[in-house]
Amino acid sequence: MYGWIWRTLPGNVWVKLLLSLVLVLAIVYALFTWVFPWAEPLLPFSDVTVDQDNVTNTTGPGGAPRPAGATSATSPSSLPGGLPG
Amino acid sequence: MRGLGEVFITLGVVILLFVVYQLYWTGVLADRARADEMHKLDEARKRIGATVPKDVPVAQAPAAQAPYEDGEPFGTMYIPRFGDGWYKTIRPGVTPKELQKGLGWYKGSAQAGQDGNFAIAGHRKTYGDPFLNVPKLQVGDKVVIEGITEWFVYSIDKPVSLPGDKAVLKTVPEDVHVLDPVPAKAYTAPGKYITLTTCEPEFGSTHRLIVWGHLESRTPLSSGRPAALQG
Repeated sequence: MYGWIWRTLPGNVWVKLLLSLVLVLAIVYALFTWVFPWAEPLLPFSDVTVDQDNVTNTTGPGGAPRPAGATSATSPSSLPGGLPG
Repeated sequence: MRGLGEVFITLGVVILLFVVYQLYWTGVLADRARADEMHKLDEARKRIGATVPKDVPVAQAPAAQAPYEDGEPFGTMYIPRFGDGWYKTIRPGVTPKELQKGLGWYKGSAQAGQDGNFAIAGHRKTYGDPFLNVPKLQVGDKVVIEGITEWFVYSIDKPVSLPGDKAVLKTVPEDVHVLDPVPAKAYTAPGKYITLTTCEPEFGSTHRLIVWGHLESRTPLSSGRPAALQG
C-alpha cells in the first residue's frame, strides 16, 4: 500500500517527500475534524451524567416548581440511561 | 502479507491519534469554547447588569431569575479547592454537545439560588477535565457561581448517608434521585442545594461521583467578589 503510494507520487525524492507530508497532514486533519468527533459518542468514555430524562418533574417539599422543558417522568427506574459521567 | 501488516500498523497509528485527540485536543477545543462562553457572559452581564439598580439590597428580596435559555451560558463556576486558575462556564443541558463547552445544568432542576436542587454535570476526563478533582472536595469547601447579576456561594456538606467526614458519594448512573429537590442520601430537610455529578472511574462510565452543598450566600455582582474567592 505505502510502496504503491510512493511509486505513484510524481517527481523526484524531495517532491515525493513533500507530497507525502501534505497527504499525512490532510489525513490527520480529516481524522481530528470529522472522524474522531463522530466516533467519540460511540465510545463510553464521555458518559458523565445521570440521565436528565430521569430528573423528575415533581415539586419536592419546599422545592421550586421545575421549569418547562423537564420531562414529566415520575418513575426514574422506568427510564433508560442515567447520570452523565 | 505485507499489505496486511501495513493495514494493522495504520490502524495502530489511527488509534494512537484518537488517544491524542481525546486527551489533548478536546482540551484545546474546550479552552476555545470557554473563551467564547466567557465572551457571551461578559456581554450578558453588561446588557442585563446595566438594568439592575445598583443600590437596592438584593439579598433582602432576591429578584425573580429569568429562566435559563438554551444555548446561552448563564454563569461561571469557581472552586477554590481546584486552584486559583480553575473556572468553568455553565450552560443548560447535559448532552455531550453541551458538556463539550463546559459544565452542564440539568434542565428541570432548580436554578442557582432557588429552593430545590441546582444540579450540574461535568466531564471528569477529556474536554478540559473540568471535574477531574471532584474526589478531592472536602466538607466546607466553597463552590462559587458568578451569574449574570449575582454571586452564589455554596458550601459542600457531608451527606447524611456517608460515614465520617467524607463529602463525595460514589453511586451508579441510574441513581437519579441524587438530583431530587431534597436528595435523601444527603439531606433530611428542604433547602437551597447544589449537586455536582461526574464520572468514576476517570476513564470509565460505570459509576458516578456526587457532591452536595447548600447555599451560603447570594450577593449582587456589584458588591464584588465574595470572601470565598479572596486570599
